[in-house]
This record gives sequence, C-alpha cells and structure tokens, in this order.
Amino acid sequence: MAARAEVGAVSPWGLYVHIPFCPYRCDYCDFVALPAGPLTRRWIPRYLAALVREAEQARWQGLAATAFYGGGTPTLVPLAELHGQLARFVAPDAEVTAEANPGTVTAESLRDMRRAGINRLSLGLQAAQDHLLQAVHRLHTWDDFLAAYRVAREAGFDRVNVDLMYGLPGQTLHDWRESLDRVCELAPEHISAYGLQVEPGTVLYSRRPPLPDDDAQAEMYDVARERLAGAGYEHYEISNWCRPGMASRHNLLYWRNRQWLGLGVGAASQDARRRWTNAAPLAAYCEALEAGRPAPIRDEEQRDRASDVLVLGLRLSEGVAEADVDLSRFGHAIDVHIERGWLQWGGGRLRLTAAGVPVANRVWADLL
Amino acid sequence: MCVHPTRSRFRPAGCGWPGGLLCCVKQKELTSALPSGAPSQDHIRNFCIIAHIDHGKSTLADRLIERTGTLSAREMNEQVLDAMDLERERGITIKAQAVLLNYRATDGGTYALNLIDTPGHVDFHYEVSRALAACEGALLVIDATQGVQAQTLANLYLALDHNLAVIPVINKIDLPSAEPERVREQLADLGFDPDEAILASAKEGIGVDDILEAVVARVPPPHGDPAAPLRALVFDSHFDSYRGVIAYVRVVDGTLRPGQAIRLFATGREFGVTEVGVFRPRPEAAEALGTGSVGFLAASMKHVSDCRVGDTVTDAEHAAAEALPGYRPAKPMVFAGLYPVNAADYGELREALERLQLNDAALTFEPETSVALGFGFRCGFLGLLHMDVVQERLEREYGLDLITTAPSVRYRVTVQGGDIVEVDNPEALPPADRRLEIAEPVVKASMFSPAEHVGALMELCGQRRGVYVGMEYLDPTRVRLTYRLPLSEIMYDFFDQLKSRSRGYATLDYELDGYEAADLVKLDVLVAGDPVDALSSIVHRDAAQGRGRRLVERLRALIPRQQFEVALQAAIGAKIIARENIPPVRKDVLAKCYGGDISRKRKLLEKQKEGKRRMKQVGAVEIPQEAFMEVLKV
Repeated sequence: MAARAEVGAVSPWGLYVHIPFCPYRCDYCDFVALPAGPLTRRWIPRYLAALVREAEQARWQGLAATAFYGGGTPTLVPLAELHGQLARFVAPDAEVTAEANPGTVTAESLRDMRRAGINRLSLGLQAAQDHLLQAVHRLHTWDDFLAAYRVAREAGFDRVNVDLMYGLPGQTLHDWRESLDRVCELAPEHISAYGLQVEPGTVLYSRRPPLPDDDAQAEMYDVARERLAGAGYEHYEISNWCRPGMASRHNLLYWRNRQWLGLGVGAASQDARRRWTNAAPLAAYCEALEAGRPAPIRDEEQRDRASDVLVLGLRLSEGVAEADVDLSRFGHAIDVHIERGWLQWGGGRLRLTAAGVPVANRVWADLL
Repeated sequence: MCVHPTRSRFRPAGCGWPGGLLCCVKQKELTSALPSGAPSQDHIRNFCIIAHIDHGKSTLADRLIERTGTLSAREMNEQVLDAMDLERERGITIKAQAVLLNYRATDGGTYALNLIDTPGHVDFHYEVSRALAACEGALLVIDATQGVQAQTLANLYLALDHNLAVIPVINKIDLPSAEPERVREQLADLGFDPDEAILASAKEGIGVDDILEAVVARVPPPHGDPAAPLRALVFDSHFDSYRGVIAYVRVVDGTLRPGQAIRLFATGREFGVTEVGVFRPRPEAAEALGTGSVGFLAASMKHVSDCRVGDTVTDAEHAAAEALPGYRPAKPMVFAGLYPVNAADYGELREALERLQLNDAALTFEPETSVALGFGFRCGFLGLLHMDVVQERLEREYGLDLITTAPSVRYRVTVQGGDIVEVDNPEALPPADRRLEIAEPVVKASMFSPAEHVGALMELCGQRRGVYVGMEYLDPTRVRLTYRLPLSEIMYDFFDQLKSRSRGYATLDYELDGYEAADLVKLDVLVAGDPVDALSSIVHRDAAQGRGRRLVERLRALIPRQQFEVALQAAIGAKIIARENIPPVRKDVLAKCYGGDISRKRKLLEKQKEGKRRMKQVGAVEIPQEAFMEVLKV
C-alpha cells in the first residue's frame, strides 16, 4: 500500500504486533481476542506466517525504534520464534515489550524470549486478591503471578511492568491499598493502574454486577497517586507510573502523536497523515496475506493533528509544547480551563493540573 | 409560463398555482367536468369516511377516486404523487381535504359526491367536528378481521352527534381471517340493521360500486336555500405562499363566486374572492360554488387567522343575519417559554414563529425575558400535542436548538385594590402579599367509556382535583362521565392515563368552563442558591411539598456533576421545602488510550461534547434542556 510507505519516513516509529488469542475472554475485555480452543489453535501457525508477510509487505524506511507484542495473550504463541522472524525490521537497541499473563509463561519460554531480543515484559496482574480475580474471570491467582514475576526476573527481564485495575466488582479501598502495597514491595520498573471501564459488548456490560461508583473509583485513583509517589514512582501518564527513565518508550510514541505500524487483525496504524485499522476477521486477514494482498482495512481517517496532539499529549505529565502545535484555535477553551484550575502553563508547555487529571474528559470535550 | 385566463377583477397577475402548466390542463378539464356550471342541489352528496386507524380508510378513498374516473390508476400512482412531491420541494403543503367525485348512478343521474377528509386524529376534536358539520353522511369502515374498535365507537358517536346518515362498511373481507358475520353482530348491538352493512375489500375493489350507490341512496342531499344570503362553513384552511389563505368551505345557503365581496363572521374582516374551485383531487377553478357544494375559495387573505376553522363566510353586501352554529375560536390554552439554546438564534426563532403562524391560527407568541434563559418568547398553544408539533417543526424544519419551559395555564389573579391580572408565566405572579386570590381555568370534561372502566376513571379524576358532575348510561354497557377539572391537571398526561385505564376505549372531550379560585402557590427552584425563574411553577398548596421534593430529586439525576458541589432547593416564598446536593465531579477520564483506542475514544469525547452543546449555562451551572420540562412531569 502506497500509504504505508510513508511510515517511518521522518520520525522514529514503533511496531505493534497484535496476537488475538486468549485462553479465555476476561469479563471486561473488548479487544480483538479469540478464546483459544483447539479449533482456534489450529490458526496460530497460519496467523504468524501472515504477520510476517504483512511486515514484509509494508515498505517502510529505517528500523522500528520500539516493538510491542500485545493481545490477546501473546504468550500463547511461540513469541521467541515470531520475534526471531520480525527482528530484522527492528533496531538492535530497540525497546521490545511483550504482554504476558501469569500462568502462560514458563522459565523456559521466558528465557527463549529474552534470548530472542525481547527485553521488556508486561505482566497482567489486575488485583492481588484471588476472589477479585475470579470475579472478572481471570484465570490466575496471586501466587501464579508471583511465580511468573520471579521467573521473569531470573530469565533476565530487568524491565517489568505490572498491570493493576481499580473499580473491580466487589473491590474495596482496603483491597486496592493491599494490591498497591504488594506490587510496590516487588519494585517493578513500571506500574499501570487502570480504572475499570465497562465497555458495550463485554460480559460485564451485559451482566452489570454492582461496581464501585465514580466517587469510589476517584478515591482509589487518589490513593494510587499517593502510594506510588511515596514509593518513588514518577506519574508520567494518566494511568502509568515508572522508575525514573523507565517509561514505556513504545507507548510514548502514541501519546507524543508519532507514527506506528500495527500488524495483525484489528491493529491500528498511524502515519504522517492518516490513521487506519485492520479489519478483524481472522480468516479474511490470513487469506488476503497468503494471496499477496494487503490486509483488509476497517476504518481510515485523516488526522486532525492539532486536536490529536492535545488529546494524547495532555495525558502525559510533560504535557504539550507550545512550539509543537498551533493552539490558537483552542484559545478560549484553554483559558476557561486554566481559570478553573484544570490546565496550567509552565515552561512553554501546557499540562493538566493534579485536579484536572481525573476529569480530563471534561477538558478534552471542550478542546475537540 | 402560465396563461391562465383571468375571470375576476380580484385575480392577481398570473395564475398563481404552483406548477403552472398543470393548471392550464385543469382549466380544460373544468369545462368538460362541469358543463352546465354547478350540479343541481339534489344531485349533491357530502360524506366522509370514519374508521379506526388501519381499518382501510385511505385505501377506500383511493378506490373511490379511481372508480369514479376522477383519476386513472396510473395517475393515482404517478401524477398526483409527482405533483405533491413538487409541492413539497417548494415547502407548500397541498391538502386535498375534499375531493369531488362525479358519479353516474344506476338511476341514470350524475351525482357530485364530495368526499371530505376528517383531518388528523380524533383527538383534534373541534377540527373533526367542523369537517363532519360539512357532511350529511359518513361511511363507517370496520376491519372484518378486527371488528369494532375504540376509535370506531368514538367516531360513530361523533357522526351521530352531527346527525349524519351512517353507512357501515365491513372492509378487508378478502382476508382469510375475516369474520364479517361477527362484525354484523357487533353492528346490530350498536343499533344498526345488520343487513345495511356493505361487505367490501378496498384493496381488491370489492363492494366499491355498492358503496357509491349507497352514498347516493342513503345520504340525504344537502338542504339549504339557494335564494338566501350566502352562508358557507370554513372547515379547514391552509396558507399557500402564492395565493394567500386557501379556505375549504361547504356552501350552506346561497352561492359563492369569484369577484364577490365576502365577510367572515367571527373576525368581521372583508375580502374580495379571487377564485373558487374544487379538488379532483388537484385544484380546479370553477365558475361558482352553489348551495350544498364543497370546494375552496381564495381571497388574498394573508393569514389563516383571517379565516378560522368553523367561521362562516357571508356576502359582505347581503350579509346573512346569523352565523352557522358551532364556531369556537382557536384559543391557546397552555403557555410556555421557548428559548434558543444559542442566544444568537433569537432573530431566527422569531422569523420561524412568524412563518409557522401563517398557517397556524392557534399559535400565539410574544417576547419574554428570563434571567436564566435570556431572550425568548412566551408562546400559546391549544394543548401539549400542539406544543410538541410546533417545537418539533422549529427544531427540524428551522434547525433551531430550543429550550422549552414547563407549560402553564393562564391564571387570573386578584391583587390588592381589586384589579385582576392574567398570568401565564409563573415568574409574573404578583408576590403573595399583593394578591388576594388566584383563580385557575377549569374545564368541563366528558368521557365516554365502557361501564367496567368507570371506577378507574373516577379514581383518576379524583387524583386530579376533579369535581364530579354526573354520569349517564347510554346503554347498559356504555357510560358518559362528566367532571369539572382544573385545566392544569389534565394538561400533561391525563389523556394517556385515561386511555391506559380504559384499555384504549375511553374518549375525552373538554371545553373551558370558567375560572375557580384555588389555594395555589408559586414553587421556586434554587440552583446553587440562585432562583432559576424558568424552573418555577404554580401548584396547589397541598401538592407543593411532594412536587418540590420530587422535582429536586429528578433535577439531581438530570443535571450532570459540575466542578463544585451544587445545592438544589425547592422553595415557596422564603421557605425551603426540599433540598438535594449534586456532588462535584471527581472522575471523568478515559483510563486507557493506546494506538488502537484513539479513533474510538475520540468519538466518545465528541459525543460528550455534543451533549454539552445542548445544555444551558445558568450562572455557573450547566443545565440540560430536558430539565426545564421536568417541572411538569413530577
């Protein structure tokens, strides 16, 4: 595709690889993911081959500065092998992350991944209490997580992220503090904490169990901000904290509104002008690439760079540089929110204030 | 270019009909259709079709038009529809409310059959009654598979009230599930001779000739005095931007001609008739409309309120002594403030209201100012349905975003010194220490209902402060129940309640029946400590506490959380009777936003922005449009 030739033409770009297989769909998940029963597993070799073909097809310039294997559950497929085939598109010093769920990794598979060049691991924990994990149909326990974490360290992963969630069905403030404390004790390099959002089409959406309300979620978010700052983590993005210098370089490409190429079903890409998303059906994707055609595309839109920069850039504590984008058309809306105390200027950069971060949608809705 | 011959000194230059060429064709048809001018009075039949919804009224009308050769089947499908599309594109609503059918009967005579449409829904009681007043007979269409339904009855009573000859037609007999014998039995119960019913299928064209013959034989010809001064009943009207108001009339006495100077009884205004004619179903000019005829007249009337439904047209020089009975001025009964969400749209709103008023004699408006909402208009409507229609047209046809305040009736307030002031906006109510008495409009409501639902209806009327007037059994199964009720109590959902408590069978008619003093108070709402005038209402003292509490509860749920805590209070005078707090917004943020999420999340934010656009900033608080109507609903 002609458009894809522009990826990476000017600035550093990232490679995202989507692995749509999961042992089981969690109740809150609305990602493109297929429960990996015996039937689905038969697709895995075909799909991996198609991914490599899609990578070969895209004629980009230079090597990817970062790579990220997301899902789904990437660790359900032989990732070391896959990265072995894709590594030629990735810079040797790149940050290469894989998402993993406890229970799907072994000492051996992690050693293989590390050896193949994957140097960052993102472990989905969500909560430290087994009853909360069961309530959203996570398949692992706290002990499974702990084992996976230790094995990852032994395998040589010196950059590990732990995913946490607040606002889970039945979760108390006490549970949340406990989750934060236990994770802080392990001292991972990076922690993500997401408020549960009930998306249409998920199991939670149809079942609607009683959930902590917005006020309780807000309280949990404040607790996280306090606790993680106390443990020495930098709060560099709305839902992300890291040890100094340990931010996710790949995710920063999204928030800094750079370019990236997504491989696989449902994967999104963005070049200098456009954003597009691959269609989701697995069979159509595989067949197209096997026939030498590009992956079918579902959505495509022209970028509105200025508002993209604001909506994405304001997620970061570094904010948006005045020099980086023409803000004149947002002038009044920005002033209103500065007056409210939800936005502030400093050092030529516009940022959300500590009060503005939890209500950022209100700010963005005015800026769009 | 139309070269329509002018026949009247009042005729404006050019023919004026939209679609000029077509009208010249019509001119030719005119001479062949009515060779010797008007038909003789005893060869005229005026009738309407009444039916429950979906029982086949319009299909039967189409079939009658087709069978009498008024239009060929092909024309029915193509030409008429094409012409109407054209009209619609120009923003003109063509209304063929009365179609002239020329029918050669088996007795050898040629009859002029005027099929008069009963406009809208039976709930537009007055408009329907004027259309029926223009008829001598009615076809009562009943679906052979469904039998007599609620509206069948309501329509039948209305027709009998107007002394119409009723011809029952059992329709859809071609359907496998048709049970014509069962329907005949139902008709016998209603007092018909079951053998009089005509079996028909409008869809298949079965029974159409029998129906036409029955109209000739059973509907009496119009009586009326051709030598008497002109009296013609206006049963509908609409505004045509080329020719002014087109009035649909039934000539009762005398003759109506182009060139004639006419006077309208109710308004006393005089006009020169520019044109008279008939609908076949396209408008065709005629030389005259004789006694008993039905047709249209144009007289360069600028405004539908010049020529109101139910009014009587007479000759200005030889005026009739008395108007025809039954005129009721279209009088607004409920009043509400209409405000543009965007203050800059005020001028556009005024223009749109002016345009709507051209075609809507019942709509009134005058400028008003609200502290909360800015500049807008206090508008008067016949009822809530009318208000909904106007509001929807303003939003849809004129693209305006509006805030409507809760409608109010018009109160009469006696103030110190004995003066009486009329108040249709709660905000204008004189303060408690200056008023001696508040009187509210009261209606006399007649409800027809099957006897088994009477208890439920009496309970409903009791809840609405109704005073029982009487009850009469029309037959062992049917009752007419009469109550006096405050108009404000039947304004909102009374009709819906009436229908749901009678399984759809009860009907309602009401008329204004004076004013009654009542213990009424003004209920105010304070948002963040400031009274919001547009949320005030006038309510009965006994109901104030409950309403105040429910209102602040509803508003708490409707008003989105703001940056600061917002207090909502309901108050009578200085006394706070209910309070709720809206806590400040603490969390409104998208937790995750990675590469694959951006497009979708942006759409969510845009939706949020759209919702915000439809809110009104009152002080520091954003109040959604719906909140203002909640006042009525609690």
